[in-house]
Amino acid sequence: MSLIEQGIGFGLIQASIIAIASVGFTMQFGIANLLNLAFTEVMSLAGFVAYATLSHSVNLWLSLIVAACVGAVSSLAISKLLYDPFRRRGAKPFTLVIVSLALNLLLQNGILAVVGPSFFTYPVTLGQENIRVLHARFSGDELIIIGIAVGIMLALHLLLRFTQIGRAMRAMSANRDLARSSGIPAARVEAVVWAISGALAGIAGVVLFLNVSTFNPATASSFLVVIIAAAVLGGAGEVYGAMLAAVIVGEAIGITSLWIPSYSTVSAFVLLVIVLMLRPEGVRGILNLSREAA
Amino acid sequence: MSGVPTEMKLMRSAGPGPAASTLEQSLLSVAGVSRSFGGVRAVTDVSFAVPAGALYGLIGPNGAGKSTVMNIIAGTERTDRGTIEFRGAVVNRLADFQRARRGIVRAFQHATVFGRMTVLESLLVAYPDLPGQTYRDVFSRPRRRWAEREQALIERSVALLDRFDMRRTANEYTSNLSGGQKKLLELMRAVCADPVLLLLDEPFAGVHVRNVEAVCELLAEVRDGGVTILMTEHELNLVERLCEVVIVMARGSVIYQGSLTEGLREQEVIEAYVAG
Amino acid sequence: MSSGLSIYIATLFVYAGVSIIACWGLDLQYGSTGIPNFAYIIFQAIGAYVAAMLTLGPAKHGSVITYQQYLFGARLPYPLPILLATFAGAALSVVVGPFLLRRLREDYLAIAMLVLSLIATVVTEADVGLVNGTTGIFNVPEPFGSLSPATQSWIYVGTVAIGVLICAAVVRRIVHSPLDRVLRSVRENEVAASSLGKNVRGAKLATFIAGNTMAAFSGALLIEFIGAWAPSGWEYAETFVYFSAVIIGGRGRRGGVAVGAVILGVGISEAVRYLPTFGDPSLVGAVQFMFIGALIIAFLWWRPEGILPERKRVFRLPDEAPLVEVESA
Repeated sequence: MSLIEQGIGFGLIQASIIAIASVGFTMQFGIANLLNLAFTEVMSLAGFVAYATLSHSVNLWLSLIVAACVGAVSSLAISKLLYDPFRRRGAKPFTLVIVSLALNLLLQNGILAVVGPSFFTYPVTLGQENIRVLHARFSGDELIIIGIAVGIMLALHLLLRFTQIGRAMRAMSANRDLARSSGIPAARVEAVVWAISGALAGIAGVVLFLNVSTFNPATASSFLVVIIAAAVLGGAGEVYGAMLAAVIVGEAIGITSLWIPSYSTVSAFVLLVIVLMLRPEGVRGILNLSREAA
Repeated sequence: MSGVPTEMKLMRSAGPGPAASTLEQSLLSVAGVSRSFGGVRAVTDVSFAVPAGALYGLIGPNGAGKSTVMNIIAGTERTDRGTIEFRGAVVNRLADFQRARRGIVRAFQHATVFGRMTVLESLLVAYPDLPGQTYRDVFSRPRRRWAEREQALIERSVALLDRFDMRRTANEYTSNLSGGQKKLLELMRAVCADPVLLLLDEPFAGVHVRNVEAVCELLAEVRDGGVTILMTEHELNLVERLCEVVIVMARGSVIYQGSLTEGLREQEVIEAYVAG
Repeated sequence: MSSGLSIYIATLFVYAGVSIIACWGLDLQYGSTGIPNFAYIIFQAIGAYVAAMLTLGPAKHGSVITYQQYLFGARLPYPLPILLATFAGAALSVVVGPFLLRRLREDYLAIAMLVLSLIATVVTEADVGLVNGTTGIFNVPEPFGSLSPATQSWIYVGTVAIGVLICAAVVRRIVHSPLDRVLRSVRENEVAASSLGKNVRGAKLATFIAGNTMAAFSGALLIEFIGAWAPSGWEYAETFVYFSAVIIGGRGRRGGVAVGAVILGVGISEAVRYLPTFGDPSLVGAVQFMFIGALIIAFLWWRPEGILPERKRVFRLPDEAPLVEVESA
């Protein structure tokens, strides 16, 4: 009995990390209509910067903020310097995939060149006590991760629902031209989206590195497909969809890891291929949460 | 005249059912066709028939559903209900390219060019009877087979281009053409594809005034060769000149079928156009 | 010339030839027909594995000496393993193709195929009984084992050269045929191609098979020479390198693609070898990939048509003696 709950609990942690990342990823997809395959490398960059600060006795929360800033700034730079010029030229979607893949290779290997191929661990342990929730055991780190994820989801919800910029973001995601003609400053909203999603990437990077026992420059990119899976399953650009999908994907991984550990992420891969082939719009439509009646 | 063989009736294998030759038997029969998109009715219970050798016009205000009907006939759009009969056979289940092979060829309203191919190549790719278009052909037949035929087709294509004074664009990439030239190419390409029924979506839209006469001549000749034409068009004097029968659509339904002059006297038709 | 140097140069030629064949196959799919086959590397891998297994013979299970595990094996005489491996690539394409080649957004399709490539790698590494997992298959004997290593290598260069010539002839025939126009019309505008009666799905499937067959052929040729093959040699990034070669060299043009294949397949890895060693040896690999990444972005921005752009097919028009220079419209 408790084994399954352990699996579910494990899945919940995965879901938390995936949620933060895939919401950021899907926001970028929604605003720019491109699959930013370099997303995980922004995560990685922020994660390594946090490693540097943590190694200099900066506390976790401050490091998180630093990571969020690193993520936001680099994402903004990437969109302004790389993606926007190509998009303005009318580049085809596949060209943008190649560009983002090239950027992924550039960043990943750039980080590799700087820090080397060895494995690292965050010099933090926040409470090794095993806390029991229902029948599953969590460590302090893991509960913090879940807490961060829940906090972020809540903050995003408040942002989207109750702030002007949040409403503008939703409007642009739903119908870009209509939003623009109603006076919404498209370029500024886009920049905000890149900054926020970049911050999410930064936080996701730290949280990911916190959760794995050791990490190296290749760790983050192994998460890319899982993140895409959640984003596509939730519907391109649908923030709430991505949250729900993250839970589904996270639990899928958690439960398969009980039986066939070496194949646990494959379940996410297979899920993604099936979704893309059969229903590329994901659960959009079934889950009409982020849309409001016009 | 040049570019169009006198007998365009057809070397292609006929689909099941007799080729329409009598006046009673229609080439195309649309019956009870309806289609909705996400709860919005685009077309409702549309029925009409087009006899072989005719040139019919499909007219009506914007949003009447004309393009949807054309798409349904061509096969790029499904129909929720009803049947499309072509040469006596129901073609609902056939994909768009299969219908094209049977002779339903369409030209789009917004010209669909093959950007990185030349004008001549765009025409050459349209001819269905050129051998060497499949892998099997390429590796089983000697090159001579298609080389000769290709020469003949090049001559035909250039003659077609001459009608519109476009010979000098023959070896140009189609992406370099003007809007009007692209539209003309769209029409020429459809003519080259060996049609039995030609579906033309606003063939005169965007075409320069000096080419209108040449287009009318081409359509007349194509008809004389035995091809049936169904076209949508906004310019009513052209419709009056070319189409013996018009089918008027408004708000998704057919509201009138008959001669244009008579139709323009019908109250419903007038209201439809005024209301838009 | 010393034997070592001689073998080294021969190796370069073999790598170049294999890369050229592989890139031609990908160019047929992507350059001519517009299929973004990010799973291309899987088919090269299939060719390599099948050729290896058909050369090595059946795996020895339960023997005292720990050996390799793999699914099947036979000791077939050269060049049978290569032929059968090529066929295996075609067969796999027939199975996988119809599922993959749907009317899907370009970038979604690319991602799906990329993920497929990843799944293949993970499954291969996890299920050791399949093709010996992460270790891979090794100790595959060279075909002309009785001769001196230098002679062997150069005879193999001859073999690869014949392979390149065969593929060149095949591709040439396709390019100089009406089929080439059909494929390009599918690449340019699927809807329009369909409206002209072209079976778009069929054309894509056939091209998928044809290109992947060349991939398998290249993999089989490669492994008979280098003797070992493991998942680390066919990560999804390898497909990206092939794509880069095609794009940088000039997609849709065989000569251009060949240039790209030589530059990216051989040139960069060899050029990097001669840089002064600095820091970690793994740094070399990192710098290589950084360079490729930057290079492809640069090309996509400044010269997307590649070093040698696709040739415009110009026809002689009737009623004209010499070919007239056409002015732009």
